[in-house]
Amino acid sequence: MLLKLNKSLYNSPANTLFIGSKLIYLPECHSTNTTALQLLQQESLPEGTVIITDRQLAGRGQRGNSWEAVSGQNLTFSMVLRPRFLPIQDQFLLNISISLAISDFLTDLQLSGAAIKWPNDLYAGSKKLGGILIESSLKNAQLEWSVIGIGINVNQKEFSVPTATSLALELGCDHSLQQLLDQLLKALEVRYLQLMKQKKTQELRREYLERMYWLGEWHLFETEGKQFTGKIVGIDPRGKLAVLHQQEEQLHYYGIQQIRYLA
Amino acid sequence: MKPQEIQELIDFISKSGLDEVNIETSDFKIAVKKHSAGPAADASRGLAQAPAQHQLTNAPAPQAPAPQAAEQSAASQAKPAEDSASKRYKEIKSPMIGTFYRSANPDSASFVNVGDTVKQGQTVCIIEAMKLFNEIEADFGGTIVKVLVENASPVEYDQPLFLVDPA
Repeated sequence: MLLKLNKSLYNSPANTLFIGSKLIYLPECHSTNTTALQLLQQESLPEGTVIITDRQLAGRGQRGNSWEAVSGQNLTFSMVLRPRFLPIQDQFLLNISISLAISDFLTDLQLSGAAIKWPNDLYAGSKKLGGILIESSLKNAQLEWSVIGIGINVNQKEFSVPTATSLALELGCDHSLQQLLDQLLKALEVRYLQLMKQKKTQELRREYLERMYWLGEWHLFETEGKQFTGKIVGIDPRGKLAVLHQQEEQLHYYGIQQIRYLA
Repeated sequence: MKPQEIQELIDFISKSGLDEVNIETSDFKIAVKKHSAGPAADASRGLAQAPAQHQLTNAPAPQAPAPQAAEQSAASQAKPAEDSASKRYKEIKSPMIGTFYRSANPDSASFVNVGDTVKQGQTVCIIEAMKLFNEIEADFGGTIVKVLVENASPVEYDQPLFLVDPA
């Protein structure tokens, strides 16, 4: 694939060991995840390679859900990792680490009311601030590499949906994208190294739960077309959401798309 | 009705001792019949063999891809007549529990189709679990003989996904 050479609007961060050491800037692309996946088919990218764009023409959320981002106002990038140390049945820990890193980053910005909406959206209050899309390649039942796509709304102030927000709206001021990128990549590296070296998985799970949106509160949910009142109490090792049903007084586990958050 | 549910139903019936079961709802009709070669309640026959001993009739229904899939997976498990031919075929199996997808996106083409030649290391499908999308690579090359799982359906660990002629 031919990458157009452009003067990069972003520099590699000076404060990381390997995340972002190689940084590829594209003024626009279909989706940074797709670009990363295509590049990986052709060449070996060093671990920590970041592909960043100002404008995603076809930004993707979960399987075709689109991601709305105005050009040059938000952070939209993908990062290549090689988490071969992680058994595939434990790969939800990768999601936990990345979610925690973004949550750390938001806390550093003094954003109050930030939470992780299971499994991997970032919320400020009841509005979505950012999201994660993780796509991996498995070889011989082992994680070969993972492409971590991250989108954070930064300076955009108008959205077509009322459920979206940005750092500018939440904090009342604009931010330098380069500065935020440096901070975020650093936070991601810290959490990734924690996962790689220490493997304190119980600790990671506990922190992820502590920052979970709606944890321990009674709310209205929907499953299989039926509404119920329930309380999120945790996740199972694979990442399924454990919800206590108020009426039945029973615990149920849900995968993605098996449960909807209502109110 | 999902292929897995049909599989479960067949397993249930095979253990139940019933000879014939007919189920009909607004959108499908399914008839499962045991060839009563042996005693009807002989549940000691291995489960893996059980599906092959059932006849699965698929009544004309407007949209019923599911029973077809069950037929497929039943056939893939054990069909004595095909044994000699299928012996040389190898299976690409699921390395994990999740949801099987044949394409990268709902609107893009399948990674592979029956008759395609795949190389070792080529992506053949995606298995999604908890919003983590995993591209599965073929661990050997060959020609795709059969796709054993319906798109967007759940798969278990070690479940065969593709039948491949490694020649």
